[in-house]
Amino acid sequence: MTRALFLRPSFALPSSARCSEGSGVSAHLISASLPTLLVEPRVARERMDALAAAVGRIIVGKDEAIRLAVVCLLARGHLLFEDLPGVGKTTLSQALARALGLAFRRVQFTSDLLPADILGTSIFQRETSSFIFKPGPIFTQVLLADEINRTTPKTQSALLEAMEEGQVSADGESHALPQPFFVIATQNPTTQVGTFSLPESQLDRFLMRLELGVPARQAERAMLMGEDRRELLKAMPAVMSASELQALQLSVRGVHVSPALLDYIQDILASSRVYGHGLSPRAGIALLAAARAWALMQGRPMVMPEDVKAIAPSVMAHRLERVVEGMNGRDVAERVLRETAVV
Amino acid sequence: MTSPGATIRVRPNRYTLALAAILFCMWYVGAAQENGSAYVLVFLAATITALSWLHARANLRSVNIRSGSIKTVEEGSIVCLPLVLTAGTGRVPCGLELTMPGAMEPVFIESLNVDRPVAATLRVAAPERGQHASFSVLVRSYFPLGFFTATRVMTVQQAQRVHPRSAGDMPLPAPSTEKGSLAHTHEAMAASGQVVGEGDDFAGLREWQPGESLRQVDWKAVARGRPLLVKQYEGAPQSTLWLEDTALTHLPVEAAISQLAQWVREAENKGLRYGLRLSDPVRYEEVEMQFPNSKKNIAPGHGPEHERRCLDALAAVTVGLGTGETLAKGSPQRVKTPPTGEVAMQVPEPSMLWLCLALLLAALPFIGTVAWPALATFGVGLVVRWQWQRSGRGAVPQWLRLGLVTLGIAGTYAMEQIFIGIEVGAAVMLCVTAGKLLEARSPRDVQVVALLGWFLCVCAVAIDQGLGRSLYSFAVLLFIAVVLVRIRRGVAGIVIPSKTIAGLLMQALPFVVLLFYIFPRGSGGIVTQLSRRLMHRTGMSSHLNPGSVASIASSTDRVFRATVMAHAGADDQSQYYWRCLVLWQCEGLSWERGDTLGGKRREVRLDQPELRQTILLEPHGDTWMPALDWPVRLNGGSDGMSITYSDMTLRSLQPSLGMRRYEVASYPALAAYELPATWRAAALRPPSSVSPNVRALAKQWQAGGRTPPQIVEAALDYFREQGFHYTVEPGAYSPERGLEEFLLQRRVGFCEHYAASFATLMRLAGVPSRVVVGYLGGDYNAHGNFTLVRQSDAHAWAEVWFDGAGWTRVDPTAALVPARLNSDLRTFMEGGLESAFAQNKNTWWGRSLNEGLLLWDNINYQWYERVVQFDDIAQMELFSELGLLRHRATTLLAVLLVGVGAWGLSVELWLRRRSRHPDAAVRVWLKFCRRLAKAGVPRVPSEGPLEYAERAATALPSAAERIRRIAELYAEMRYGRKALEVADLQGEVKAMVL
Repeated sequence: MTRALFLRPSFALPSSARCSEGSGVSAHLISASLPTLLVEPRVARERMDALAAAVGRIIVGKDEAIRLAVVCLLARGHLLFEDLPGVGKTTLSQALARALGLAFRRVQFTSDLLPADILGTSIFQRETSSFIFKPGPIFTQVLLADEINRTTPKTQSALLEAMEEGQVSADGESHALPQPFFVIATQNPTTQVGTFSLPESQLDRFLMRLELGVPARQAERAMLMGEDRRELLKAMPAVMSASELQALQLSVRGVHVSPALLDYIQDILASSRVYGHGLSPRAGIALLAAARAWALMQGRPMVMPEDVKAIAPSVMAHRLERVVEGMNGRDVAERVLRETAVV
Repeated sequence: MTSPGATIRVRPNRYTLALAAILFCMWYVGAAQENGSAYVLVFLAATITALSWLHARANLRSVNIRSGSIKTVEEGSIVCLPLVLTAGTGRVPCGLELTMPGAMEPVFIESLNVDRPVAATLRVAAPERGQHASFSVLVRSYFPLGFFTATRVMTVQQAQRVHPRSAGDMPLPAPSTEKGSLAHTHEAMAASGQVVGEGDDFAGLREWQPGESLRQVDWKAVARGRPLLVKQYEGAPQSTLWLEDTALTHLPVEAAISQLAQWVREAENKGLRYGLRLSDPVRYEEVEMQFPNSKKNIAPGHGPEHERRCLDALAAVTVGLGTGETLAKGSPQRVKTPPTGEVAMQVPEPSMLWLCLALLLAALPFIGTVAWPALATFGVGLVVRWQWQRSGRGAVPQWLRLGLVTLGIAGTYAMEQIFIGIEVGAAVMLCVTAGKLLEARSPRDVQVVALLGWFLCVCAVAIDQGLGRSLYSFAVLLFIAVVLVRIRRGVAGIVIPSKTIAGLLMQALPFVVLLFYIFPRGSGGIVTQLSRRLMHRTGMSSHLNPGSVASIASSTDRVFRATVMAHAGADDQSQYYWRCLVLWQCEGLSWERGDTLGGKRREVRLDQPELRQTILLEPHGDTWMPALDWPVRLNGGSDGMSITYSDMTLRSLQPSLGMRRYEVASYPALAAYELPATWRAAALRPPSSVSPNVRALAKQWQAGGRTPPQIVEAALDYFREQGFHYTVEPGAYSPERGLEEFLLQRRVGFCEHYAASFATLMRLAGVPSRVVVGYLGGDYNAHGNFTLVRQSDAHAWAEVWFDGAGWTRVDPTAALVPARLNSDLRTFMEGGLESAFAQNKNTWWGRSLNEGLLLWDNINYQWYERVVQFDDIAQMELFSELGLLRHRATTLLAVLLVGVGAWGLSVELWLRRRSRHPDAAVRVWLKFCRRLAKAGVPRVPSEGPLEYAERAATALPSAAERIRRIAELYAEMRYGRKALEVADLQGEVKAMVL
């Protein structure tokens, strides 16, 4: 086993990075100077528990969803929340960004939003007689794309490149996005009026889709009695530095995956393909990445089928939507898991 | 996903019966002929098919079926079940037929692979309306040989919703005008056309319903003479229709539901807004349970989603049990499982061609043995089958098939005039096979043809049991089995089926050997002698004509093999004169057997040196049996033989039709005795007409008071000195003057000329004489210590009677050409002795060829000795040697059962071993899971080790710690990075106490 060591990085993020306004953060600097530090699983578990606990103070009673969201971010995946308005999607996203100490921006997607509104535009500067690229709100570390399915597919697709490649192309020039870069999107259930459902290609790029749901009665009571969420958010300290986050992300990749587990994941993919086109190979990669992060969160040096099963419904559900008549994606996902044998 | 407990049943089918019948016939042939070769063939066929039972079971073991999502359909329509088949580890399941009750036709799947799932669509009549959680698929396989049907009913968990059938002829009820809510008011406004102008798309026209507003009527269309039509707009609901079952109380429940479904579909098609109201509380008491939110009503709506909701609700209606309405519905129809594809399916053309080839190979040995009409029929059948199918003209017409078979059988009868005997039987089989082949299309026909082919193989060894023929027949039998596998598997090419059969053969061989030695021989009295026809005579006959020996001698066929246990000094095989027949009736150059002379057995003093011979005689269709000079005593196994004392020859009572083995003791120096008067008269009877010149020749020797030996010497000198020439092609002599021609003019001849003329001359000179035909010498085989005698060793010589010395052999040929004794005719004729030696001994290949031939012949001899001739007596000897004879019946049975059981078990284990998991840790883990399952905590297949261990630990607190430890150990071994010893895990599992 690789000698795992964990060093609390002594360097801090430039102050601008922490500010939610910071748009021009050169995150590359950080990743370039970061030594390859692997976090020991036990330590990683503590850190991630702490993160989840911090967010859990804001969003009460949604432990599972928060842990999954954290895992998603550690696996460098983008996150999609689907739920009714008002259950705390935005708050959770903000809390996550806060807790990770990352720059945060929110874009409200509307039906008349254009790609340039997100990505940025080149404007003519009279003084220099040249075009200057004015970065859009996407140049941040955590982008909350609120109600993403209210906008047209055209604008939705503008996010594709950013999500996949971590860069934005405008006027033939590529502009790198700060690292780490997460998109947390929320969407209303597609049965609601005035929604454009996300195209499959876009859905596939979200590592997970989470549903929050109405909190349990006690949790709701605690929320009603407690302080104002907004105040809490403002006062919330960062639990983790950006470098620490990157070290964790690196460690996720170091989690051991045995051939037997790869067999299991392939079995899942094969099982899903019984139902229509099933899961894409990218979904397989997503499953593996998320399972690694989950294993690390459990403090395990290797991935177990249990880890895969823990994250699989969230990873698979939105990819298996509409493949079976009369069944939603989560049901299909759970069925596929039930039908895949573990040895 | 299939439920794990689906058992595999392997059952005999109609082919098993046919196989049993054919095997019985094959056994009958073997038993009747005491033919070891046929026995081997029977045991081979029986064992392979018996083992195929295990293979059929193993074939279905790892099949796994799942179903993709099923479209909702209407009751009674066809639903397509998208099945996905996968194979577990180990064997590749092949030749699967999927079917289920109500299926349109079975689906055939060639083979499954571990990494590639196979998709299949089964078209099935939709079951009763309602929500079905699962369905059962019947997997059937005839693999590998078709003689057993393996079936497995697999339950596939997949929700399936079936909507009620739409039926009924009641018109749609009138749209309601009730306005119960604001929404309804709005709808009413919409219906009255106030919202139509809002840019919605025109969606066509529909017929006007009575009671509707007239505002949307397309008056222009009416003006053109069309009926009242209403303009329809997309998204513009027209009117609200309540579909209620209260209007249908006069109908039985199912009819009412069908009517409602009909209305729903009609209303949807017409673009109406409609709602569903199920109100009869008694009839639909269960609806509430099924749809707690719907409260039996579905609010008015429109669109496919709404239609589906309504139909779902109707589908889910369960009839209250108390109403007795179920009876009104009528008893549910028994859904039939479609017939197997055995008859309907068509065997692909390449497979048929392979089968034709196999049959051709099976028929080849009969060329030259069976009547040509049968062979012709078979050949024509093959060619027609081949060509007809390729030209795509469909089936061969009935008249052609029947005509051909009738013609073949009639032709055979015309040739043979008899319907008894193996050859005739084989001929009829050939005709029947050809006829069946002509109509063969389906797997069932093919199976029958293959069985006929197997029977042809047995017929082939019934006619000739030689090693070459036997091996050939075994090969053909296996090849037919390969073709069967090819058809059953539906695979292209011949390599994969060959591998399957090779595996089966390997597993079957020990079994075949065991059966061969311990299966009771003898027929138990139920077998009557299966006679072979008498026409097939070879070798010596009881007539000796000029040229008759030469014609026999041109053949190199084997006649017999003899092992001579000679006393020292008598080991010169060139002096082995094998006497077969003695001819007494003299007609000049022609001699005949003549009348049988009476005679009685003489007492023989057995203190003389004896020559004991063990002779293995090939069938020749006659009664003669070769033996060395003076056969006196017959040893064991000599039933049905006798010694003709006047001739001192052996004779069998029945014509020799099969291989025959006998022992005889000869006494070369038999004491002289008195020649009975009748014999002497017979031995002196001259030919009916003799030319004066010949008579003068004989008289000339007699003159001067010469003794008989001197006369013989004079005659031999005559042959030596008067320019006689020895040749195999002396040319023809006329029947009347042949003797004179030979002796005085042409003076060229073969051994029969010399022997016949010499003996005739002796009679004319007053010396009793006779002609003996038989064989001379033979090839000594040092590998097997036997002498092989061929037809080319045929010879004729003379015997003369000397008073005091008795019958004395005189070989005029030897006197003329002594070298003839040391080589067989062929080598002698091809350039004489010297070159024969040079050819055989001096070149390397000549030597090796010679050696090889000798070796092959020895193997063949051993085959006869040990396999073909292994009969009940040999079996008893074997048993007594093994000490089994004391408790024969019970021991035999016990050995048989134990042997069969042990071997079957080991094959089964081997088959199972191949399907076990390759990872040793997993095997231990699965064992652990089985133990926990016995303790009441079975593992769900999709459960991971850690969660299962947690659950088991909670359920079994006493062993909790160990269960967790085992799970962690296993998890580390299988999923972790560390390499651990399986033994540790094994130890932990063993130590676990539940």
